[in-house]
Amino acid sequence: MNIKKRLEQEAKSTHQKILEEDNNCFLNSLPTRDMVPQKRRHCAYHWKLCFSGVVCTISAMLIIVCAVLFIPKNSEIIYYEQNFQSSTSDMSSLNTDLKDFQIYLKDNLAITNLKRTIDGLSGDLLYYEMALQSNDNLIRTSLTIVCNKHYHYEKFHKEDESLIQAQLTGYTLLYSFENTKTINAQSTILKAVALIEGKNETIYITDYQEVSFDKNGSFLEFIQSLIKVKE
Amino acid sequence: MLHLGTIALSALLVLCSAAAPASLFGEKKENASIAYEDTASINGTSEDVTLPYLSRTVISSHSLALMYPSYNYSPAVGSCGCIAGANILGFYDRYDENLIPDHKSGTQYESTYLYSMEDSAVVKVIETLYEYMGTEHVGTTENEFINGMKRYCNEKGKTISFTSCMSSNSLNFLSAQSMLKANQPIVLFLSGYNTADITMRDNQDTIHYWISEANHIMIAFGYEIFSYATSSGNTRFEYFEVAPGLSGVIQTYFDINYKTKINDALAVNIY
Repeated sequence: MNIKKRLEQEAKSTHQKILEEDNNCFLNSLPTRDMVPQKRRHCAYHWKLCFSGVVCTISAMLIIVCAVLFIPKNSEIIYYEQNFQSSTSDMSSLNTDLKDFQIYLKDNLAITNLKRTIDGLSGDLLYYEMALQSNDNLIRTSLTIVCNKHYHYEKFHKEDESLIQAQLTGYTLLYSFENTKTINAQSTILKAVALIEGKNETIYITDYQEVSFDKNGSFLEFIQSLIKVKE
Repeated sequence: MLHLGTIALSALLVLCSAAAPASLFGEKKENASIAYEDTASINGTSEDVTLPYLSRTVISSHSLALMYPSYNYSPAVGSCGCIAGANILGFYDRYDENLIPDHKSGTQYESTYLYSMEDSAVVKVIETLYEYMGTEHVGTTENEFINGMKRYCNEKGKTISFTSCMSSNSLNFLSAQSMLKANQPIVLFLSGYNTADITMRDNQDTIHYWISEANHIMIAFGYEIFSYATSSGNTRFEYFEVAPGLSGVIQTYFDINYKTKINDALAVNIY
């Protein structure tokens, strides 16, 4: 019994010694209970932060992709022809509304049927239409000036491979000569269509007719004198 | 015997009047109720037909003028009838300036004529015809067109006559050609119509059609027949040269055989 007691006492003292040795060095070297969860919590916080960062980045990317793909379609404005309202207009109103171009009427030209068309629902300006004729009746032409990028003018064959490109002062003209008709050995009636694309407006020359003595007539000169870039 | 023959002949006549003309009158009655209303050429579609060819020949053509009247002022929707009527009056104004007062009809050019485009005097005439033809949102029927034109011409002290260019409810193109050669424009009453512009190139033409299913009236001032020799045989295209009464188009072709129904075609004379 004594031996057993003594052994127990020695064990206790040795244990105490170990614990107190070198100014509780052993005890200090052991990690405390609090320290472990704090570190763990710190790691979890970082992980959560990273995770939400990644999620946010992915979501943002998805939103951007969706926006690029779908928003232009959803925001596309469609105008229905049954809502169109046309009214008689004048040159001053036309040239005020035009941002890219200016229409110049020489004295030898008469203008007929200048119309301004808007969408009756929104009040948005869509296009102008006009017809012109020279005083000698040798040239007559019809113009449609689309002032609204959301309105698609479908009557012009823009994809036509036969369109020729001509660089006039300030703009490019795409045009095509249509059927010509020979009146006699000297003169023909020349028919052309053309378009000029500006930043804000597109001008369609839907019908140009000229009694001409040569096969090209004065089409390009006529267009250049009629349509100028706005300064 | 003679009595029996008379009875048989009478029975035959009764049968004929009850059968064949019934369908004819039925068609006429149906056509008479059509309101022609297109003015803006909306709700149409465009189609391109490419035609490679070995040779192209103009078989026959005739125009009443090099540039004919081609007005398109529209006082309201459904105005094609009064615009077409004004184009007829504009044509005859060359011979009697009183038809459209204060309007210069055009200028002589060699052996042909260049008509002026519309001005305020023409606009006034279109508005008058709009009223005389009873044009409302539903358009103008053939009878309303004829009556409106008669009323206008009578007020100007003129007589207007209409001659049919139809046979068995179809266009008689030969008859139409001879009326045009007799200097009479033709008014076309159409259910579905086209306008055709031809881009002519060596060995290949492209016909740009604008097609609408609307009921429409336009005026033919000439005709042109093309024949194309192609690798698979000969193709014939028959056109009227028309004032379509549509904004954006001055004068163009109308293909009489392409996606259209010609309900009636009347040559018009004012004297």
